[in-house]
Amino acid sequence: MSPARLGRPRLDRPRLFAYLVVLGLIWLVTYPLLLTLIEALGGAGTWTLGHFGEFAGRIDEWRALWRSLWISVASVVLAGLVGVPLAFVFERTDFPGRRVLGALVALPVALPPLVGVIAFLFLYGESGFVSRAVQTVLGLDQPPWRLHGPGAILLVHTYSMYVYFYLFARAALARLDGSMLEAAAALGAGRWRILWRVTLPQLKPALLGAALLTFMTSLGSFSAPYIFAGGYRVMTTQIVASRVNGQYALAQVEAMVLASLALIALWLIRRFQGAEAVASAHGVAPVRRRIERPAARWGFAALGWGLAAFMLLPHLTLLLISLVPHGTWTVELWPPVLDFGNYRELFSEPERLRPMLNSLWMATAATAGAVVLGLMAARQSLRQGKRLGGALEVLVALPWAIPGTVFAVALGTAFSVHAPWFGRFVWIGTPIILPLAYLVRCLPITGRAALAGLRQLDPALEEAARSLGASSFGTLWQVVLPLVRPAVVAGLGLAFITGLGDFVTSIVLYTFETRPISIEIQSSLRVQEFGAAAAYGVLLMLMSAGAFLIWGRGEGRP
Amino acid sequence: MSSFLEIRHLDKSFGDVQVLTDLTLDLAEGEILALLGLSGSGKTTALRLLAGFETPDAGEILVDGEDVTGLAPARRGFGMVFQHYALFPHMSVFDNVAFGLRAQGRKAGLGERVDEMLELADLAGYGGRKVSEISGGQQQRVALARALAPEPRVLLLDEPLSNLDPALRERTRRELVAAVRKIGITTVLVTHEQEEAFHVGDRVAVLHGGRLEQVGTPADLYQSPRTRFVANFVGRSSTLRGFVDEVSGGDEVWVALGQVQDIAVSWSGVPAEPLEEDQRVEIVVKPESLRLATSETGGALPARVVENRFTGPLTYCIVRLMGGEEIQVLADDTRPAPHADVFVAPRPGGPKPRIFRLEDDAE
Repeated sequence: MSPARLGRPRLDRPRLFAYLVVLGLIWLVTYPLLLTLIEALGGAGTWTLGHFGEFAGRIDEWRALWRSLWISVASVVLAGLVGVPLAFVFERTDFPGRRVLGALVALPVALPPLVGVIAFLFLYGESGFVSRAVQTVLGLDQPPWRLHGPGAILLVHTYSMYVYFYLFARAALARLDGSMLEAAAALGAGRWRILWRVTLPQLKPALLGAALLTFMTSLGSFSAPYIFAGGYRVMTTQIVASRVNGQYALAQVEAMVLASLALIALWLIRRFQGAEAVASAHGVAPVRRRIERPAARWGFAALGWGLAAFMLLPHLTLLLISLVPHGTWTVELWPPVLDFGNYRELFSEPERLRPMLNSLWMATAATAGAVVLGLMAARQSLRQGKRLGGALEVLVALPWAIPGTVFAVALGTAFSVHAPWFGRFVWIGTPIILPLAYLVRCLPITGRAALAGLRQLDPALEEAARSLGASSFGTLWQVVLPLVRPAVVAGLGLAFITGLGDFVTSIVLYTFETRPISIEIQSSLRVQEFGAAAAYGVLLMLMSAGAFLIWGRGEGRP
Repeated sequence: MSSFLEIRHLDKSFGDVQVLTDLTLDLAEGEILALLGLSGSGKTTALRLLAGFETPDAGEILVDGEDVTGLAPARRGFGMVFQHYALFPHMSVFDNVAFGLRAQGRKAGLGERVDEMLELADLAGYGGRKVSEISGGQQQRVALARALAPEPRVLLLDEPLSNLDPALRERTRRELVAAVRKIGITTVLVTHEQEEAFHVGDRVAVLHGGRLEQVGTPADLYQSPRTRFVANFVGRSSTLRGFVDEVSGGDEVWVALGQVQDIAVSWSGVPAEPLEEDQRVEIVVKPESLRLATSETGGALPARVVENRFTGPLTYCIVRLMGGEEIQVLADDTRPAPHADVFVAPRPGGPKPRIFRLEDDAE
């Protein structure tokens, strides 16, 4: 009897491998969350709703929850109000410098959140550049404003998240079928009517996608609330504060509540998106309207360059501050002394260099792991049936929907107990835990990139290789990997940047030995060593920008 | 004829859909067999089962007496040309052709073998080109050279010409046949184009609904279709319904098609299966079996011209009979204008129509 006569659903080697990948992902992604939930409920044997009751009974908690929610909604609105008009300007009109500026405007996406936050601090904070200038010019005794509270958070969110709307809307505008707009015009519709009735409805899926991304990012945002609004707690900062105060169970409850909120939001927005029929346009994108009137042309150009300057100003400030030696700049408008002292110290003192090396090796290890795991999961998810494949896809995407703080708490919970038979080890306080946390956080990026690359791969190519006698490994190595490399490398770049600049999981899980750059920036700020903090920020920025330029181009974030 | 490639009782279903039922075919060594069918007929599934990309639910595939049913594609020694070629875009033409040889671990004589194949495919000197830098026709030939380079036992061609524009297709087809004949490799071609199947195949197997309808030489299929489907599918055919009027001997039947001024009109044809008098039948008739007449002659049916279809060398006249059926008639020099009233009659010396029993429930 030929092997073909064996029953069909059988556990052959590829399927077994797929199950192993699923198991590994469950252990890494869902198991820690489940353990956290169990412990929040008092743990097996001692079930209690007491911790949840404690949470529900405290007004602070409800306040933090409400703040997280409204700040996220407001961030979506503000980011949309900035990003969408910009997309129209850069996609539908033509003026001098459009290309360069169009790329510059997307810059904030490539920078670690913490860098943006401290750059804003140095620029608009109480002793920041702009506030100082205004104070001096107007001869005030006090700084003209304080960069504090929800306003500050929203300012930074808008600055760093409008890019999602900008990129999504631009891509959708570029895909728009120009003949459809012409058809509307031929039917007698004016410009506004076309915008409202034809263009915007077509952008809806893209805008919803950007809204989802902004909302989720904002809900999980930690750096801005932490730095700008110490007492004004949102959920993420509340969780960290509870943990720092030793209220572990409360932190677990808060983490679960925030995770639920994130998943509900994801479900709601997805449902809304699902109802939208995504029209696939086949035509040619509409022609860019060249701004012809010289005055308008220069007006647009000036506006564009002004905007670019505004975008770059925080980073330039950071660079400037990094050149100011400790304690030399007090009340002057312009720092009296500028030198490379901060950088020299950073590279010559082993304890100051350590965070750099830590971040580098941890981000590298996490990225390598996330790329391999993401690739394996993506490949199996496409090769296995709907159920197993779908499960893999969800597992890979899940860490994206769960705020980083929540994951940090979950990993801290899972890996603080020695129970090898239950897949639990005491890894907290060891050099393993942070790279592992970064890996989980990067997994959606690398997995999504690998999935995109593999989806575009013609399955016949693999079949061709196999029919020509190549082994499965040979097929993978010689045909599949070289062809998905561009997509995978783009994911790798973004994953590396995420790991390198991570602050949100690090602050929960770091130890003195494994402290990364972000933690060092925070401690420098606390002891008023602004120059050192800025120098770290600049280096982080340069490394991120370098990684983005080398690897990250041509692929958006998930 | 001893079989080199034996396909025995292959069954395959995807979920609840049975896509292939009891497919049995034998190929002699060096024979070219064309699997012809519409989309959804199971022809592509049959080819993928042969290649080993799918596993049959039942049945066996034997090559030279060896059962290869459970072998992985890599171990079958089958070469395949894919519909969209599936050339490796990140490799040069040379590396594409060398891929199978390298997978075999062959180092000695690799360059010579690749050059030989490129020459066979009329691509000498193209080895260094990127795949994206050559034309569609050249890509097709690279795909053939790549499939043939490792000296496969059987060559599988999946609609290899469907991606080419019609002007190029004919020439490429001739080159393909020449190359395959020169090597003398046993070949299975899958196609939905009758002309291609008839040109390339020594024999043609017609698949319909996952079942083999008939296998035979192109002339067999054309002249002696065994099923209604084949009779309708091969060539341009029209169907008429009637009753068996008279069975004369075993190979001729008269079918009453209607009445013209109280005189019954009957046409004769060859029964595809034993028939009895008064049986309801379907008569499948080719345009070249019919002629147009301007006046009532023996056995003519009145009709009205719908349109003339000019194809270059020949013109087909579409006419509508009184009963509403449209049939195609090969037009001679006279081409009546649309709406003209004409008569349709059997063409003396033309191929005889085939006659099939019409089951009661058949529509």
